[in-house]
Amino acid sequence: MGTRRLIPIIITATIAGIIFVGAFSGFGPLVMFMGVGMKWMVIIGGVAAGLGAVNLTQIHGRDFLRRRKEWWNSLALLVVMFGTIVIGIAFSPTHVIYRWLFDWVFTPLTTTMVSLLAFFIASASFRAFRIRSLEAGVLVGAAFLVILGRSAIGTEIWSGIPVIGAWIMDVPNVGGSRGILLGASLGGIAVFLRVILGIERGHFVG
Amino acid sequence: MQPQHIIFLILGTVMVALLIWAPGMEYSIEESTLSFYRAIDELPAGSLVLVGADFDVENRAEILPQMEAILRHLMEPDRDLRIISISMWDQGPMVMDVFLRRIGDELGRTYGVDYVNLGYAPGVHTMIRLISHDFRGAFVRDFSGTPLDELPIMDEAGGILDIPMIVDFADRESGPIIYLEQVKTQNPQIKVLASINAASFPPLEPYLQSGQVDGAVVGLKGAAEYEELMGMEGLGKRGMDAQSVGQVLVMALIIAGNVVALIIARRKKGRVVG
Repeated sequence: MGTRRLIPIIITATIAGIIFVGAFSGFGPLVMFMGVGMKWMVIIGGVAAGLGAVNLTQIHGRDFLRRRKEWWNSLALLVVMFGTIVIGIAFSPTHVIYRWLFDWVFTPLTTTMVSLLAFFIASASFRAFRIRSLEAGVLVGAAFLVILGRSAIGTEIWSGIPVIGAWIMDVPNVGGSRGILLGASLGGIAVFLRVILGIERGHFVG
Repeated sequence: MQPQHIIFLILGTVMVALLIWAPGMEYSIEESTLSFYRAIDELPAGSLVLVGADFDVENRAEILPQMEAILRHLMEPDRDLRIISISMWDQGPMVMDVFLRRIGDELGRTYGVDYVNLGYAPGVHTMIRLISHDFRGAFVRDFSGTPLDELPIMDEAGGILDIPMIVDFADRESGPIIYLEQVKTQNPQIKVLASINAASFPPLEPYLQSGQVDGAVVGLKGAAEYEELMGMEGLGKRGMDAQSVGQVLVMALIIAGNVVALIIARRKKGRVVG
């Protein structure tokens, strides 16, 4: 293994090891180091946002300068991104201009995208809920009972519908969710061990 | 016009009509909403409450009606609760600031004394852990740029571990779960309440059932229920009427589609046999 790979692995293993032991032992100096490490992480998190902006500028700046296909979209992205950054830094996020951009440009655009989901869901559920087998029938039945159970109309049809809908959410749903949570947690521990032991090296690439 | 466009047109027309008309349907109130309401009701006067603004504006249709009703409950002058708002993600504080100031002004609460919006700090899990004992671990100024030392409410607020209740407005289950993992594990006495969109609720339900989450207001229905408990007429009830009828319409279309598909399949089968 080359030095370029070995040094990051040693740094990762050392810091993760100190934080891991510090969290479980409560040993003073290690806990103090944990505090410093956490502050570093918050700072790195802030810097990462800036790094994202640099990356976007490189990719879309190149597309714009070389007049690649649909270059005007890249130009629009850069103008909007830098315009918002400059206004946010020069004034503040509570300034009237920044507020206006957020309330009357950003919010309507993002909410419109999500609102379209109502129509996509109508179309997708129409296709997904084709009852071609017993399993599909059970899926449709369960979905209907949960939807009706959480609306006023379900109670009007039969008072038992909300009870059955709640049972589906409380028993099969929770059972499935717990299984997924446990599996994901065990997977997380395995990945943590692979990273600090230097077995997982995918994050060094790129 | 394609057949799906006719369906979209019917769906859109029905939902808009119901948003305007608002027939005022009645809903049974879920136990999780009642627990949420009672937890705030039982909090001693003068207590500090941490309010998380952990949502993106795209989910405002569900989160904003919840916020309107719950913040009004939290900011009732007789209750004298003090609010500190923070965010693990960057869009929430913009919306939270407007709501806190508007409701605060209406109810005669003073910014910096009765409530404050500290805004967003990066780091997610790490940021929450950092402010366990002192908010100054991640926040130096509030959302408007005022230093924390100039805000009287921050004089008595140490860190999250000194606050008896966390109310998290979230559009992802990870918001309340982070508070459970990073805060409630250190102090199990702290109550964690989740006000969350309906799509994110199923993964959170195990935590509600186990009692780690002390109450939950879920989706537009939760907002409508909370409005009912508060004696309010708001967007929650109005939106829930439209959503209920929209869902029933989609179900009716699914049933109709299946019946038509079944008839066509039988006819084809009959032709093959004949």
